[in-house]
Amino acid sequence: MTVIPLTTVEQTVRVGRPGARREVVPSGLLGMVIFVGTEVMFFAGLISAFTISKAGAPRDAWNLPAGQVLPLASTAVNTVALFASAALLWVAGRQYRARSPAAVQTLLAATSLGALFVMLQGREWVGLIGHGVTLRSSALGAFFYVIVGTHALHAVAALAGLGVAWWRLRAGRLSYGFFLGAQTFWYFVVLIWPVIYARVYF
Amino acid sequence: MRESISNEAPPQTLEHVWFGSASLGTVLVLPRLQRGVDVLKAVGKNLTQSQGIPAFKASRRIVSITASLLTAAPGSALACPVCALVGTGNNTWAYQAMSAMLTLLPLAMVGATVWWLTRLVARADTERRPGVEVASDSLVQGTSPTRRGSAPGGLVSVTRRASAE
Repeated sequence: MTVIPLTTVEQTVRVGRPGARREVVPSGLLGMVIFVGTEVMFFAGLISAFTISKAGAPRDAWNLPAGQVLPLASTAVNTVALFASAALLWVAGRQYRARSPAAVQTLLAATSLGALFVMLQGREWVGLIGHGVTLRSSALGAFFYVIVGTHALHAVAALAGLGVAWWRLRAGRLSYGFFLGAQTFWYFVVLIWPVIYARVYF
Repeated sequence: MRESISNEAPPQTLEHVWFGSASLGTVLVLPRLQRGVDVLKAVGKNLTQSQGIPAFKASRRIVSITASLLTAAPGSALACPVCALVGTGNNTWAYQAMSAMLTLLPLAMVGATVWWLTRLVARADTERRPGVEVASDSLVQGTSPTRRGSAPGGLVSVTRRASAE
């Protein structure tokens, strides 16, 4: 009769840690998921305030000053860059799991595309400010800078995480939990953007 | 000098309903809280400690009743500046839709997280069975506290040994 002691099972699940408990999900990933949940509610609050204010405001009072409109087309290009970045990050994750050295270049490309998104957004802001669209110019201007600016801050923070992940991967010191955390945060930045784009720009 | 009290009913705006309800709560709760303090003072003199505990229970009941009355107050809570815009334009639909979104979104996220964790635990339980190999795409690859390795594989694929008796 075959008897499998529990300790034997535990020992063989985690090599090198006799009797250690098994980790179902990396702590870094779980922490990031909880953090992303709070951030989702933060953006939901902003978008909720925007939607109610827009629905209650007179049509004339909501427009930007001097007949300005938000740059729809160039932002669509930025959005494509952002989604391409997310796709490359997904590929980088697969390569990393397969221990392929190409993961370093793919992760760098994903980070670069994300940085391109932030830079293009910054260029749009400079143009809008030049045309007199500021935080105090109108209600739409105020909401625009607060919501899009907050998203840009999150994008910069997520890019910093991806940059650290790339640096550690290049040095051979990247832990899987850190990679998953950085990946999750970037996916959040990417997935919240279409909601903001559809709600604020149109 | 005593203040003169007007018998004229105040205009019923949202603010009056809200603050009126809050005043009602204060009137109901404060005397009972004071009585609770008196009972607690008596505990040290004549009563046993266990006889003082119902004072807390009574206060809690009054607080519950007051909270129920407040929720039944016919007005908005005016919890945020945006909520004050309700009914001033065509934004009632937006207010209701956003209220539903802000209510359901956290519930959905918590539910999804619980479902995801339950699934991971169930999968881990399956993998714990003798003779089952750890999946190569497991989330816990490379997360061994003893090894912060450069590549996934801290938890290597192993077939469990079975010690035979």
